Amino acid sequence: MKEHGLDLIVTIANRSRIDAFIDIYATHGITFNVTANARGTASPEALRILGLEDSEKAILFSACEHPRVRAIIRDAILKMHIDVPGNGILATVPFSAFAGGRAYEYMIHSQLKEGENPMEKLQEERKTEFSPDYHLVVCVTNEGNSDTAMEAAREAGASGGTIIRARGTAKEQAEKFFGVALATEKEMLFIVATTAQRDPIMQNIVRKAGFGTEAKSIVFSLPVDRIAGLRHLPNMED
Amino acid sequence: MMSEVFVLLSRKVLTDKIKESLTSVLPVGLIVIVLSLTFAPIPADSMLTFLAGIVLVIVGMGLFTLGADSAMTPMGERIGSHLTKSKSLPLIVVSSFLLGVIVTISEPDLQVLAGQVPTIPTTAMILSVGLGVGLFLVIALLRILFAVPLRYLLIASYLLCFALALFVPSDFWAVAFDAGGVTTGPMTVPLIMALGTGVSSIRSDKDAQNDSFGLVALSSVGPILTVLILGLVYGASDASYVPDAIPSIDTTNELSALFVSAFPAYAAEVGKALGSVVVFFLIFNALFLKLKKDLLIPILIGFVETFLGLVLFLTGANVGFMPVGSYLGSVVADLPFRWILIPIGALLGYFVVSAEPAVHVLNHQVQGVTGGSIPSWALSVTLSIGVAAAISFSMVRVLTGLSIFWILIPGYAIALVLTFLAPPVFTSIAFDAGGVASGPMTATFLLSFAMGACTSVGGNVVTDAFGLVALVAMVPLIAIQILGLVHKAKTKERETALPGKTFFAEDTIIDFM
Repeated sequence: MKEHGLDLIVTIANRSRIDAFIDIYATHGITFNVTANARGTASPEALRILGLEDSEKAILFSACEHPRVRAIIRDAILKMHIDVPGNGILATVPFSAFAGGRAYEYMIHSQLKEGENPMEKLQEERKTEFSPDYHLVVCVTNEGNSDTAMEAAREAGASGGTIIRARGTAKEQAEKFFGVALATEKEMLFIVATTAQRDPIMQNIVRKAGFGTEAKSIVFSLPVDRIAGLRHLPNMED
Repeated sequence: MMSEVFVLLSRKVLTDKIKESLTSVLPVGLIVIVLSLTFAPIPADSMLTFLAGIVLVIVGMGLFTLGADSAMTPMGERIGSHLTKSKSLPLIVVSSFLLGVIVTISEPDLQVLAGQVPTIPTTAMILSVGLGVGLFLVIALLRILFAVPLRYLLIASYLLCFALALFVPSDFWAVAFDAGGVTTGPMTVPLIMALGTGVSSIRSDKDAQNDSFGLVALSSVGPILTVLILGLVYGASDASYVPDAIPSIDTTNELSALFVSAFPAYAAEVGKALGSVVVFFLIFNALFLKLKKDLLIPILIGFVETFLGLVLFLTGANVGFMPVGSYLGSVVADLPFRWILIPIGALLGYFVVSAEPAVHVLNHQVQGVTGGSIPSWALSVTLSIGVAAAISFSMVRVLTGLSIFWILIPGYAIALVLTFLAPPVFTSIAFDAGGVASGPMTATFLLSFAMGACTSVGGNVVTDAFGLVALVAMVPLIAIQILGLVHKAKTKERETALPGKTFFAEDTIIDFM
């Protein structure tokens, strides 16, 4: 695995705990954090009907220089106990590229050492491939259909997922209704899967909730470099 | 069965809800107990009813917020987003008008208010306030569609209110402005707030987030205007006040009988209110939404939770809190140092607002829409400070008989000027919070505290004690917009911390692979 570069840390946790994660990441110099409110799916049916499911989650996307990821995961385990089941999931996905010089420097400026030049640092980049053990499966469905997709994923071995509400932007200009622009309602379902689980999960979603169905799911996966908080032990080797 | 119950109890949500309602109700209870043990003696039987009331209020609030989360909010959101999606102006106008009328005429607090103004026939009052809310809800939705800034509508409506007030007998002012706060109660708020979120949820323009709020704000102007107009029509000069008899009990058996006898009345009130909303929803669902069964069932069960929660809450608040509030007020006002009413009122106000069920719904909604960029604690503390200030002003009025307009006119003037300075989303939240903060807790506990004090002082209950709800509805407008100014300043500070010099050209693509 490469030594430098930028990783996207995806943290999924209870909404009330997300701020604590952001505070911990801040101590590692991470300035770029985007949070989206989400809901979990891994609840028994009876609780869902009674409105008792503990589903208020949030997804936090943070950008971090690759060498710092290890220390951050250690902190997430020590301070947030993310390795205890139910306390959240943390997965890192390597960026392949980043656009915009000023934004890049804003993101990493507090992660640089005193007097370090980000340009020279980038030159040292070792570009190597890696074969991930885990994947972040992302499924974009029409509103109200993420449960169908999750059901399909569960049949194929997924243990749970997290859903955020999203808006679609079609290739045409957004529809106008008087003064407001309308968008199509979408849901994004995030599932962490092992390499072995990934294909069956993605296949079953496409079969049961694919483009030909009402859900019109679009499914893709992202390679996960490091992970913490899944019921399996995280791969701690470098 | 037992194990299932145990599993339910061990779920974090339920414990969270219970913790939430405990922490919001217990402080008020503690203050009252401390006061009653020190310099404000309360008859032991009223204290006992109060303690029992606390338990009912806590359980009721927990159930209510649970029900609001699983029924009222999703229902409002689904109806709202369907209205926008339908792109049918007639459907939007008709449904929002009907919804406004239905939730308002069934709001329990309105019935109480109507009873307080004998010169206006109760039915006329209830119907016209309902029409007022319906009309303003339509205006609120059309405003969103035609992209008219909320502030212009607010300024126009409040100017109209104050202009009308000039022609209405002064006894009427307090009741009219109270009406605004009272009608937006625990039934209306979750539904109308969620409607706003729903209407805006499928929009992609930049005002979508701001426009998620502001419906409650406009809905609370409607009642003020209609009551003023009614005052004009009926030329009424006397709103009257008949003090409630405070029941006395001797045995624990009578205590339970007191609550049990109150249950059916509140159950009927809430049942009627919620029933008409459920019927509206079921018809709307059958005609337009056509929800799948697994989405529909949790909503229906949520209605049951809302029903139970509200009945318990209202019974606890009315039977348990009202007499104690009134005693406290009169005892404290009888003290040689009666100015102490002001700090005690402030203290009660500070904690009572978090015991308002609708406040939790508002806070929840704000977190949901803004994604946590407005911290929940900041909103709570600001609201508490605001209501504390409002109660202090009310106590000053009780002690001095100062006309409510000396506070309302400058207050609204400041609030309306702030709409130009504060970020728009804070303006919408602030004006919503005005209607939200003045709920059943204010109307039962704080109002009877003021009425008790007023009777002791020998003032005019109708002009001096009434108006408290109006102040509780007004001060948050200022407080939350000031929070908005602080938030704006803080955000600016953070943004200037960007690195000055750049190593890379602006259009660089940094390739990591």
